[in-house]
Amino acid sequence: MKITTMCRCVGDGVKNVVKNGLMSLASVGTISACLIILGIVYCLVMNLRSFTGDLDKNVGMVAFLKSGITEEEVNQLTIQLSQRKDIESFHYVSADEAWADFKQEMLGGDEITDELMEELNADNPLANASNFEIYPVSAGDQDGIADFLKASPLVRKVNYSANAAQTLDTMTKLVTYVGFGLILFLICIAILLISNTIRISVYTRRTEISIMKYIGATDSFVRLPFVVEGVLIGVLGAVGPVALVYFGYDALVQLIMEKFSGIMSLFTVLSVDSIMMGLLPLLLGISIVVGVFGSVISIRKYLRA
Amino acid sequence: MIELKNVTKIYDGNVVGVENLNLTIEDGEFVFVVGESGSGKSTFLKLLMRELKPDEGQVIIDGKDITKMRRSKIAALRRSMGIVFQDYRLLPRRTVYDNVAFALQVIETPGKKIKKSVPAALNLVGLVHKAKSYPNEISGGEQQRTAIARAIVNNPPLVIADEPTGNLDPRNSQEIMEVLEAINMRGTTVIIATHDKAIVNAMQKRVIHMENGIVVRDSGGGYDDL
Repeated sequence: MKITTMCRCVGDGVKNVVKNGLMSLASVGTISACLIILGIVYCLVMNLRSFTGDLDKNVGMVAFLKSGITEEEVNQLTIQLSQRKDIESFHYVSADEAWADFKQEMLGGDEITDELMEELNADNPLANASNFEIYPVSAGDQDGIADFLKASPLVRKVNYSANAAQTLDTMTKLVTYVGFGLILFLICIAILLISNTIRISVYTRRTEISIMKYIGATDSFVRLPFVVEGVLIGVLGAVGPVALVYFGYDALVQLIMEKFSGIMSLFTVLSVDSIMMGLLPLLLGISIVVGVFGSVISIRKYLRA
Repeated sequence: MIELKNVTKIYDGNVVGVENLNLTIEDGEFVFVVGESGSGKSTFLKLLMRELKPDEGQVIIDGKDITKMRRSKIAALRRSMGIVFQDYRLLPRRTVYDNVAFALQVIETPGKKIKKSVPAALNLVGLVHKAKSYPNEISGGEQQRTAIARAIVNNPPLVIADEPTGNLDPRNSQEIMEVLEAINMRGTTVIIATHDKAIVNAMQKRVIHMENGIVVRDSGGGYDDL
């Protein structure tokens, strides 16, 4: 298609939006409403995903080593752990360090405790507590790591919460599936709304379309103005929701922080910039795809002549 | 040259459109297709425009069987024919000039060529002075002449007209026929479906008479001549 023809088609599409003013406005409004819900769902899903992700990364496990382990054996296990791809990080805690940490926690209490601690210094009660603190890449990796550790002749006992791992894994999946299911549902509604508007536009111009077909217009020539109209309605419908999320997100987060400070202190809320980085291309992409699909669906019947 | 070989089209509900049609129309011919409503005239024209596909047989235009043509090639086929309808099918919000120019814009003709071709087409149908008028400001005959100008502005080798005088009085009908004859004189093949006996008798051209989808007569002369 020639550039001048393309410009003419784009111009026709813009004119259509203006000509069908009220109908276009109604579509833009309903699509905006739809995309606002989508934006809110997106913010919610992304924050929940980030929350569960944070929790996921902080789920740790402890592998207690057998007594009488040599430094060489510790090094050997260190190498084995560092070769595993399902381990994010790990840290060796010797019996002395374990005792020092414990003392650190207990000291500064009452006098009797402090004295008791000093007396026990000579004979470390945690001599048997040298261990590895391990943080898996994902909570779901815990079982595999635990199996490996249990099989090692150097490990006496492995402490971890299999339930926590599974719950977190399920929760992350649930949030993702439900969120994206909702987003998909809203996209379908937006496609229906746009295709309805275009259908009316196509209907009012059906004579013109039939003439075009009889005088040799190609399908793409007939289709393009309507596609432009659909995309324009979609993009205009996305402007409001994007602005609303951009300007309203911080205020909303602030409000929730104040009302539910107890729960909110548990996790970090994503910044508006990181939300917009995902949401902006998503809404723009959706509005363009919805515009194209909506118009293509509506005009299909009239191109068969 | 147009050839129809054993062409049959049956609509849903067993309604016969055309049955075992065999015809040849040479380049530059002027042909009337006559018959009562439902005789198969419109089906015949729609088969030529590839608006319909036959159930059986071949429709060959310039050596190509258009029944086997892919949908994407139909636009190119239609550019080689001008089509005129009984109800003119003009765009009411465009002037006479713009309606004619529209046919060229749609097929992506350069602007310079449009500026040259549109006045020439309007001149041929005698409507240069109405170029700036809108369809609702001109008579039925003038509207049909605008539609003819739109059909021929691209210089197609074939013009198909479906009841072009159906909505016109005898004087306007006569004028339209004169325009179509002038176009035919330039070498363009003209096929007209009509049941207007007066114009067929006046023109004395080849007449294909159809009844119930079958050709019952194919000869020169008037409407009822055998």
